[in-house]
Amino acid sequence: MKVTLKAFGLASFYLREKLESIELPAGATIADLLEAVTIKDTDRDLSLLSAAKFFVNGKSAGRDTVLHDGDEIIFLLHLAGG
Amino acid sequence: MHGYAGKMLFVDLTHGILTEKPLPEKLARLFLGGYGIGARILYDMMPPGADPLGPESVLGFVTGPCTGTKAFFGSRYTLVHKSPVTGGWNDANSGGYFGPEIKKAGYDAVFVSGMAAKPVYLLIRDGRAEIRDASHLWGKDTKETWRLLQEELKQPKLRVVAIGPAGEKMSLLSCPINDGHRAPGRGGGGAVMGAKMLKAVAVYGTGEITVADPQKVTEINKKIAANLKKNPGAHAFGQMGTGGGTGASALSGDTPVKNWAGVGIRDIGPEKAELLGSANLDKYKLKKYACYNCPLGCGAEYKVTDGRWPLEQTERPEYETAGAFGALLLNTEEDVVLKCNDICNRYGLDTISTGGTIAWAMECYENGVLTREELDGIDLTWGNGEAIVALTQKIADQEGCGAVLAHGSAYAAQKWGKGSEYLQVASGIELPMHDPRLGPGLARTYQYDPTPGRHVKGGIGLPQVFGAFPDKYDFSNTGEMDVAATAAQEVENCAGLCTFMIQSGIPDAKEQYLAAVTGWTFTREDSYETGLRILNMRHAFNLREGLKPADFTLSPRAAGKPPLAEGPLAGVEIDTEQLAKNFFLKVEWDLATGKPSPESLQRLGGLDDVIKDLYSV
Repeated sequence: MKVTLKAFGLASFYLREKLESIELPAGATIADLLEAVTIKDTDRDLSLLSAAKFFVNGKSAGRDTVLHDGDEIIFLLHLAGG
Repeated sequence: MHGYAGKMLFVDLTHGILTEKPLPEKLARLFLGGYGIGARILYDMMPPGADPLGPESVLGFVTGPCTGTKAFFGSRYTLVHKSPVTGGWNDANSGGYFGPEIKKAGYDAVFVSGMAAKPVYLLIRDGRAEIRDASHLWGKDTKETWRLLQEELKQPKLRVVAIGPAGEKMSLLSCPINDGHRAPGRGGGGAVMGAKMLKAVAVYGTGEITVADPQKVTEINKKIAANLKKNPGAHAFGQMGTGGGTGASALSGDTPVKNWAGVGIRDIGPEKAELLGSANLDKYKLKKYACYNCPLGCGAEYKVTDGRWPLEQTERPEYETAGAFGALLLNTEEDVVLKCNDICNRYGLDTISTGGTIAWAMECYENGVLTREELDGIDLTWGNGEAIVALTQKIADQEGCGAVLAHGSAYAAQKWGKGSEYLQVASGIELPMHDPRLGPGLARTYQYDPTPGRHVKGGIGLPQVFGAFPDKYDFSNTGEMDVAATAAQEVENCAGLCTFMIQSGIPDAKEQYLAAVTGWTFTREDSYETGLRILNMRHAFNLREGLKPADFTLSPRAAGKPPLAEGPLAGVEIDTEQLAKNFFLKVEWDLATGKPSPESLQRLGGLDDVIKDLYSV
């Protein structure tokens, strides 16, 4: 199946490359999507990723949310202030 | 005394008298700097009940021991005074280069009392201070004032904090601006300067602040620099500033939307969210701007050549500004945010409260509480960019309805006798751009901090906003963490360090810096005690003003009362009473009277007069 991904804020700093359309196996979850698209660079602090938030087709979602063909996923990590 | 210039300057504008006093080491050790020393001095100098805009009001510019040293993030000074907005204690801090310059010029703090009979500015050059006529500067904006003073004094390195026309007219939204665009923005400090007819403080210094262990400071700096390289958050701040994540924040529920009643994912949506903040605005970036000795450098200079309001020289709006003139007003038009930010910087207006006041007026307009005629013909619908800019300009000029709105939403609701149900304030001051429904601890901080309605006042709220805390909506047992986080922030702020040192990756970086800079032992226990002492000092100022916990109010919407029906924060309702009880119990403040226990004050030390004031009747 194919899903689309939009990254916001700091989330874009964790993507391996700018991908908008991603091919995933049927039954994949958001956790699987993250595994496929985020950096594994051990030189960077990955702990912030635990605070990431997700929307699927405009509805709040979690890492265990099962994805479907055509889903639009928002992956965001806000870090703003001042 | 390492880390300090060792002197304070006291200026009596009524009589034109300047007095220099040594900074006692005991005062520095107990209250550190910033609003710690500020609250201690103002408690001594000001009588209770003083009019913040009257002659008894004292205004202070106070640095910290790390300010102007080689310690990273040591750029801050704090403006302290009684707030004409909340009627209580006020402090607001600012970066840039003005704070370090005060110390280089020989002073840790400058306190100004009385009122001048005509516009004046204070000039400080290497330990020599004088009051000078500012008649020719009255009416000028903050940037023009800075430029004129540099030219007039033939000193291109002169640092200036100045009010613009908004402060001169004593707008309660007004603030001074230093370095042309950095602001101790909140609580009406511009009006306090305006009432004193103090147009500016201009400083130039060549002195150096010694530190006890320069090698250790360098070591800490190196460690932080290495950590920052691995930290994507630091990269994001360095590249895009504080507002790089504004779009993400609007969607996540961090930024309040539509006067705190909206839902970002529904009312703005992902496509328009991409237009918010510096991720989009940085196409106008000319060059990076960093405050004194900052390894992040979250600022930027802009040049805007297109759109409806071209700006030859302006700055990247901060996150708070991008939120207050963006999602809060349902505005996604970039030129509107840029223009409003520019107006606020030049006239000397707090962007948070100005945006918050317009949001209030918009909701009043939507509900027929304010008519188009009352708004001088402005069609103040949500997201109407032309209307937002027109109203911001009216507020800056105090023209028409702007003469009332220039004093904030709570003042306008009272003056016009309507619309109080749409206020989003804490003790009368507009709320900042981080939503307690996402970080519930913020509800306690916004409501009960002695300086209400601030996002930089510690507590557990901001970590909850940015981190993963699955139990954050369990409101029991928050007291210990809340008090510890509050005390830690007190120390960071009063040390003269920027709150973004949280990116440093060293949890006790401030204690390490303080020990290396001052040569004093500064354990985390010392830090906790110092933080609590400072918190109690600010609190004591409010108690002496007659303020009790019941006087500290928070508009219910921000606490999820009623809860939002949709979006990521749907159903969230914060038990503000429980959060307050937990905090008060741990910090040993009585819930009804607000009085700290005499034992706790005795234990902290340096507060004997406060105990006497509170308990000897």
